[in-house]
Amino acid sequence: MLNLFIKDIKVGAIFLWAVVPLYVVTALQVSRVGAGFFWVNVTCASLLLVAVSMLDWKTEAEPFVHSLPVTRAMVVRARYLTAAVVGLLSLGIGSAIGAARGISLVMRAEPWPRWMAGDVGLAFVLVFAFIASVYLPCYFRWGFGKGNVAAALMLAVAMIVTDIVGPAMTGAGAPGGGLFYEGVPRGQVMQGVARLADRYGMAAAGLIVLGLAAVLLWVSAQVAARACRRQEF
Amino acid sequence: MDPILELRGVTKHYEGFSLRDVSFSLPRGYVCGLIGPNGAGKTTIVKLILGLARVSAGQLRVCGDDPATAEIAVKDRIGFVHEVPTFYDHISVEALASIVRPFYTRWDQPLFDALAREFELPMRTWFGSLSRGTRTKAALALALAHHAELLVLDEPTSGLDPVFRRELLDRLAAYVSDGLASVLFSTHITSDLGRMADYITFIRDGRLVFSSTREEVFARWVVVRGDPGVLDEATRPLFTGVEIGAHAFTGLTDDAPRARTHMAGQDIVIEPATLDDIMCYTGRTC
Repeated sequence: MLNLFIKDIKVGAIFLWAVVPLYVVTALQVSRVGAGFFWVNVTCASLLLVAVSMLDWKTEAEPFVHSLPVTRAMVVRARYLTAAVVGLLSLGIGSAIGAARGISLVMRAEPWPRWMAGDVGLAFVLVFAFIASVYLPCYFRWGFGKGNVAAALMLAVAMIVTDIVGPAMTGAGAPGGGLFYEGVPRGQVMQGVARLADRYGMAAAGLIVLGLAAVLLWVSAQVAARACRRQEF
Repeated sequence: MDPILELRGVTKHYEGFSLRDVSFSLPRGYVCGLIGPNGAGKTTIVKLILGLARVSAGQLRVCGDDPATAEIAVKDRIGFVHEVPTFYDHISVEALASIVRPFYTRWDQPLFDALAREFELPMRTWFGSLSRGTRTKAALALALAHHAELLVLDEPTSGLDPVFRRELLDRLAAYVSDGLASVLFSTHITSDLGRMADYITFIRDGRLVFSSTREEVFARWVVVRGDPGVLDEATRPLFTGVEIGAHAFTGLTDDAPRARTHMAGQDIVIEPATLDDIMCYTGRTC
């Protein structure tokens, strides 16, 4: 599995070099206003994950990969490992840029931004784990093209139904509504994680969120492995 | 003999095509040419061996193991060259080798380096900018560098120039000469096999027509040519395929002695069939 993960990283390196600078520039710009910073990070992490999957599809390298001494379950597990690393990389980049912005604000005697906090990072982990756990089974079941469409539809429905994004997605124009509050998404995930952190402390909230993300990805990986077993190349 | 590859009643169903009840085996140290027209099922067999598709029924064994239950062990002993070697276009041959190397327990880096030099592979050039022939050479170097016991080649020579085709065939003949490795060579270019195949397996419309040694094939299969007037109800069943022209017929049979006996004294010519004849005339009725 590790060899497949290393393959993903080596093959995807070109996209990392292309996407990461764009990511950094965009995140830097967005961090000036704060609002949207969260979603820029989620979007960039998702794009990196999609880009790695696209490389197998675009170059028609799937028969090559599956002809190597690997099982389909290993291919699936390696892609989940890649997703986790991509998520961590994005979290690292976002945290570094957010921290730099926070420090520059503090140096100008302004308050530390609310959007640069532990609970926001944990919400990122949960939302990205959710996206990966929907996207990857679709990819392994239907391939890159149809899989992307299926995943996009499922994610759109799931985000609206569960109000992951925030009141704006559900059409709420109520007073105090909108997508962000102090640059923090108003969606249910963010609110839920913030409540967890308030009630049990950041460390406990972190453990709960990481556990939830791990369970989500594990269940998703089982579904994806079953889907991949049915695939023929 | 110890078969390195064995198919028993292998069946694979697709929508619109089925490979049905295919059985043949390949002993260690030999080359088997898998022939058949386009769409006959050659690539399906290759995919089943490589685990890219699952067998619907029957039994497939590679090096004595079932690829479905010993997938990694089996694939570790197989080298493959797909019809169009597709790897990642944006990485170099060198990088590709570094990706492939850790997957194989018997990867031999000095051997790969020697093959790369012999094939004059541009190691730092992106795979996507290589010519078709160079891609095949790179794929072959990767396949040979881990001491594969079974080389599975799917139409490796289509689109290649004659010089490299000859080099490739020589290389494959040398590869099996120690008696330890075998080659399954799927092709519709039958002239490639005349020089090197020990066994010929002919697939048509998803069914096995025959799988025999090359000597048996050329001893049994003959082409009969003559005046169409000699064809009657008694002689027609001799042929597995017949083409009737304005002035002559051409018939293919896998029973040369019977054809000679039945048509003795007739105005006919009996010639050994080529693999092309066998592919072209099998099943042809006029």
